Amino acid sequence: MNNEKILSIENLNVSFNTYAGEINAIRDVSIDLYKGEVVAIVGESGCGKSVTFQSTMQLLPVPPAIYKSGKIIYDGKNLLELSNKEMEKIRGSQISMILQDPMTSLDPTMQIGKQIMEGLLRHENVSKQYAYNKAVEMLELVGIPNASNRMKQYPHEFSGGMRQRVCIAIALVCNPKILIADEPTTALDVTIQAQILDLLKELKDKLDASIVLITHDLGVVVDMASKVVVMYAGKVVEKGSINDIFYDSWHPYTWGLLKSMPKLTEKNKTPLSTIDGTPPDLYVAPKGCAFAPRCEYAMRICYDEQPGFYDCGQEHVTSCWLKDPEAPHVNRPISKGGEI
Amino acid sequence: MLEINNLSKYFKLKQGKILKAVDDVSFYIRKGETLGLVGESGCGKSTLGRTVIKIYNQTSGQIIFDGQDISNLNKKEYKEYTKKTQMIFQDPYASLDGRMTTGEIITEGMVIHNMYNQKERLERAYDILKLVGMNKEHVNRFPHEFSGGQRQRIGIARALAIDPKFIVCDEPISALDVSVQAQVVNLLMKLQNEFNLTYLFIAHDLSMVKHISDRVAVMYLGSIAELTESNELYKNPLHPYTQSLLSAIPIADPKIAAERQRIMLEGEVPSPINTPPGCKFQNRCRFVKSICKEESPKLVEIEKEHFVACHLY
Amino acid sequence: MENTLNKFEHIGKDIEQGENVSRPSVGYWSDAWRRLKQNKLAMIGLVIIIIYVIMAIFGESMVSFNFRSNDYENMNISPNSVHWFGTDALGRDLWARVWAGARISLMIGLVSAVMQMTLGVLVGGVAGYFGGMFDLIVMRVTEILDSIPFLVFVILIMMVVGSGVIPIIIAFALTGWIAMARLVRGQVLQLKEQEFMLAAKSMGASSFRLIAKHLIPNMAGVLIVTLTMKIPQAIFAEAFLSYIGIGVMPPQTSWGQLANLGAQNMQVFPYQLLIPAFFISTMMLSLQIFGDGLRDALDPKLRK
Repeated sequence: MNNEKILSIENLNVSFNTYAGEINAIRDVSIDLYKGEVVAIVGESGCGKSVTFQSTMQLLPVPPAIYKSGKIIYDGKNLLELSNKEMEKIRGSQISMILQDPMTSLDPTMQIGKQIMEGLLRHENVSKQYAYNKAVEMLELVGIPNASNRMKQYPHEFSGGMRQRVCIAIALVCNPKILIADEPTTALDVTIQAQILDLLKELKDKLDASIVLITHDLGVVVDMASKVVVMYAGKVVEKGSINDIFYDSWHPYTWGLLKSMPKLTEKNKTPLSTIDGTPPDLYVAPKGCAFAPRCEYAMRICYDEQPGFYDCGQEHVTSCWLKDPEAPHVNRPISKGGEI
Repeated sequence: MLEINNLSKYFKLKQGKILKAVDDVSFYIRKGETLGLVGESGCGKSTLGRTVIKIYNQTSGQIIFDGQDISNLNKKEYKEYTKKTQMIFQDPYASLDGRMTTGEIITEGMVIHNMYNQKERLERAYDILKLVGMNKEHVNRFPHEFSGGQRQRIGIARALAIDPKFIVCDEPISALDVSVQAQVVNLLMKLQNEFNLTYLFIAHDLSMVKHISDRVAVMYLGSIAELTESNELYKNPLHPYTQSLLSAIPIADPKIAAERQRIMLEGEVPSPINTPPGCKFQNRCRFVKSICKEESPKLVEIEKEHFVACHLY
Repeated sequence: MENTLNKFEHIGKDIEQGENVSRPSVGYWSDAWRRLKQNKLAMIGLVIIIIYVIMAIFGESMVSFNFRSNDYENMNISPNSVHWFGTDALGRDLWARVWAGARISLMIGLVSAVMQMTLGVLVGGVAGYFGGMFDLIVMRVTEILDSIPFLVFVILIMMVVGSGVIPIIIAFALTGWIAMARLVRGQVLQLKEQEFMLAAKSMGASSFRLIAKHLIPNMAGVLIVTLTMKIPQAIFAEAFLSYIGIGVMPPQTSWGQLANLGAQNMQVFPYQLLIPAFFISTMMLSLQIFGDGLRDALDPKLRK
């Protein structure tokens, strides 16, 4: 990649102290983000995808969170070592976040125009008039009709999709380099979701930003992302390009995810393929691979030792013993494009 | 098994406005069948489900269940009715009483209807837990100790405990992770086979609904836009709304997604309060004609077993 | 090479291992108790309350005097080794009087709080649950009753029922239930629409069952906390009434009455006021702290 690397999460380890013990929520996670890319972080609840990026913005309450080790490099600095004041300068202006529920992300008692202007006034030395004009511009950019009239309105006067657009406007007003979108369309209807995803794609190009898209919906991943990171139980189990993950994957969890989705082309009323069992409780750090109890390809070594990272191609990495040169050959249950 | 004729449920709001949540809906569900009901927020599908179960009383229209007209029931008849139909709810966290143990939750139905004695009820609870894929030991634990998927199973167990014939599933998988959704859907299908259950499956995820249903109805703003067999709906969507709905679903396959034609739906999902006369889809439809603004289209059988409510046909 | 073969030997799934719920099973109450224990301040409050209750029962019998016996030769003696709290103007032992008074004050506090809760739950619960006309009427009535000043109301009631411990309890109960009713009504309105209520309803549950088995257990936490907070209010109110002379009448005694009597001799024999005042304050403080801690412990949202 001759592109510039914008964000680099290196060997991040984060734990939480709870009454029942210590949860190893993030275990040795490394993720890179290059300029202009959309990287999708995929995984189910509890896999650590949100926590990883909340750490990036230092948004985790410490305690109970403990940053045990690892670095998050942005702009030559380790974000984990910055003080709160220094982080405040970065949040909202260089790295922004949009969340799942637009209703709770917005202040119900403040006009949305003000909420957009707030970020701008804080981070940049501009006049109120400039901020106002920029805010109207942003509203128009995110596709809200009649923007100047709507500046004075309150969040409850907007529908769900509109509110999410407002949140996007707030996040992008200072032209950040990175936008972290944490399940931005999960709470929206399908047709509105399509609109919002299209909007994000359009804005990414216009404003030259890079996006981290956290989601559990593989369809959304295909629509938006060029690279995918699959997480399970606090670890990265596979990462690669879209084609790598969907047509050339090397991790049984990825296979399970792909197979358990109903295809519109499939005949209905047949049992869906599932991943048996449930994700582990991370109170006891598993000795071996966390996915082993649910994996039909599991070998003895999978239960005994944690697998390292194996290369599967250019920029395609998996963390599975199956890729070890000494492992026996398996027929991968994947499709090479098109129908399964 | 179930026949709905011209069912309507209106809510009166302040300042004289009327929310037509369900507006003149008619369909039937055969015994042992699954009818899927899809639509976006505000289309009235949840309200329809609750009206069928009689949590809400309909404003007008007829409900015929198993040959009996149950449009109006008194207290005693309602109690009898609850034995035959049950509901599975959307939110696995709010639909279980956090102060009751799993065992108490499952056996409550049996206690209310005075079925079996205490020992037998416990035995039955064990059996049902096993049936939904959980253990005997779970009987004394509290809901907050379980994951979302497990709680949903408890909800299913509760619904099954009193041996209903008809179950309304109100978005039972929307709050769950993808791989857990598959487990729950498989469980529902297995139970349907074993006990010859009839389902009304309400959801907004068209791919999941299509998979579990025999026939699917698409709802928009309180009315049914299209109703046909599942595979047929996907292969041959006739209503413009169905077409845009299908094209908006993200496809988890890069090659197929790239080849798909997108139909972008402009604008927001309108509000069901004080809807204008004529077809409800008029302001977002790319085929809108003048007749669409005056007359509401009726649900007509265009092809065999394929009903559409649209002036195009 | 034997080693390598063994390592990569295919095993497959082991779902049981994966399903182990390693967190110990905790019921709602045991979890709350655990969290409460961690709150040092609340625990101190609890200990003080328990000590006072025990002393209220046994305190008087620890000395040879009782709370009534006059001893005209030993009037107004400061605390010493015979009379641990000293004596009052009529030579009565203050230690015995403090603990006899404790019994009355605590009883008034507890009984009136429980009565308030019962009334409040009944009225608020029914109003919230059934709504409609009944709810409207009840709310208007409570608003009217609420606007009558407390003292006026209590005096009116006592004019009818007379004075003494039981009338005081009745008076408190009749004035304090309103706040309880409002609280319960709010809780019921909130809980009524929750899905688990709809689920039970669609199971065929009767209204009675819904209220008794579902609503009330879910409100229990809030109710208990409010109960704990009502007791110090009652104790203070009693002290206040006794202080202005219409509270507990002799020969019975209460902390408030003691404070009243002590205030009359405040300049000369300060201990006669300070001692009952101390107990009133610390009792109220302990109950408040404990109530606060209890509310935090019972709130599921604060659970980490």
